[in-house]
Amino acid sequence: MSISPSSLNDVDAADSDLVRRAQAGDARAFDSLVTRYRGKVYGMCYHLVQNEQDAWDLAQEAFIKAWRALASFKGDASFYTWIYRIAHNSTYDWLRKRKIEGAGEFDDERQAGVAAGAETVPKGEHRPDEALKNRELGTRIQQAIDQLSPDHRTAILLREVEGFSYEEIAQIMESSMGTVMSRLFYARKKLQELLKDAYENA
Amino acid sequence: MKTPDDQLLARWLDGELSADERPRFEAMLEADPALREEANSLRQLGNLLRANVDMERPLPNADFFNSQIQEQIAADQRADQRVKSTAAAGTGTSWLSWLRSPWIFAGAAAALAVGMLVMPSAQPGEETKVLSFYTPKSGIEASTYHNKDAGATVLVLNGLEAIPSDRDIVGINVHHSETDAQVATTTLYDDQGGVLLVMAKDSASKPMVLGRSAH
Repeated sequence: MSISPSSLNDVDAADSDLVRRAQAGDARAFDSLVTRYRGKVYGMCYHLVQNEQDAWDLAQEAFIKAWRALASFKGDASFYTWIYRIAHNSTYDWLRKRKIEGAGEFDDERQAGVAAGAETVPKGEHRPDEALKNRELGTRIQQAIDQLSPDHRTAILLREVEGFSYEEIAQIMESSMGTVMSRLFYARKKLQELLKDAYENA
Repeated sequence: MKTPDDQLLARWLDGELSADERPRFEAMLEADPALREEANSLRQLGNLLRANVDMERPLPNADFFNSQIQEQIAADQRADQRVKSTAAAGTGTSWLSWLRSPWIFAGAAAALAVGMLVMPSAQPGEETKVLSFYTPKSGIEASTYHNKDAGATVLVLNGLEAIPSDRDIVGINVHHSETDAQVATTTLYDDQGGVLLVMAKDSASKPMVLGRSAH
C-alpha cells in the first residue's frame, strides 16, 4: 500500500490541525485521528464491557459518532477528552440496554471472574521471569479492577492511568467534580483492600 | 466514611490542591503519622496501577477498523450529497424534505419496523433538535446529523431490513394540515398505486403509522 505525503505528515500533525481538516470534510485527516486514538478508545471500552468484540464495535461506533458530531466540537476540550466522552456515553448506553434486556449485570460490585484474556496489558519490556511475575500481578490487578462498578473503574483508570484532572474526568463522565472525587475515593478504598499486600511487598 | 482529611489527601495526591492549600496540608501530614501512612499507601497504589495497567490495548484488525469507519464516512458524504442535490432542486428545506430523497425510501419502506422521526418545528435551514428516539424493534439505531449546506437534518436508520422486491415505492404524497403546516401526513405508494405506508404525527407530535397495504 502506498503512503501519500499527506498521510506521512499527518503522523506528526497536531490534533487541532487534523480536527480542523476533518471538520472541513477531510476524511483522511479523521483517519489519522482514528489511528492515533483507536487503541485508547478501544481500551476504555474494553475495560468497561470486558469483551473484545463488543469493545471493538463500541469503539468504532464512538468514532463514527465523533465524525458526525465534528461540527459541534469547538476545541474547548482536547479531541482526546472529547472522543473519550463519546466512547464513554456509547458504552454506558450499551451497558444500560444490556441491563434492561437482562443479558448482563450492571451491579455496583461485580463479583464475576475475569474473562479469558482479560489481563491487563503489561507495560514495557521485561526479562522472561519478570514477565511471568508481571503477568500474574497484572491478572491480579485486573481482577481487582473488575470488582469495581463501571463508574468507579472508569474514574480510577482515567485518573491514575491516564492522568486526567478532576475537571477532565467530570467532562468525560458528564458528572460533577464532587461525584468524581467520591468515585475515586471509593475505588481507591476498594483497591487498597484488594491489593495492599501486592504493593507493600513489591 | 469520607472525612475532610480524606478529601484533602485525595486532592493532594491528585495535584488538585491550590497553592494556599498545599503547604497547609503538608504541615498536617507532617504532624499526623496515620495520615502520612495513608498517603503513602495510596501513593503506592497509584504507582502499582500506573506500572501495570495501560488504558491503551492493541486493537485487533486495526486496518479493518479504520476502513469500516472510512466506508461509513463515505456513505454519510454520499447521503449529504443527495440531500444537497435535493435541496438545490428546489424541494425546500422543511423537515419533510428528507422524505423526498430517493435514499430515504429504503428507510421508509422498512419504517414499519422502526420508530419514526419526531421533528419539532424549525425554521428552514436551522438544525432540527431531536430530543429522543424510540425504536421499538431492537437492533435498529436512529441518529441524526445536520447538513449545514443543505439546510436539512438527516435521519440515519441503521439495522433496517432489506426492502422486499414487491415494495417498490414509486410515489409519495405529503399532505399538510390546513390549520397547522407542521402537521402532515406522508403516504408512500407502490407502482400499482397501492398505499404502502401512511405516516403521521398525532396532536402531541408523536409519530404513528396509520396503515399500510396488505401485500
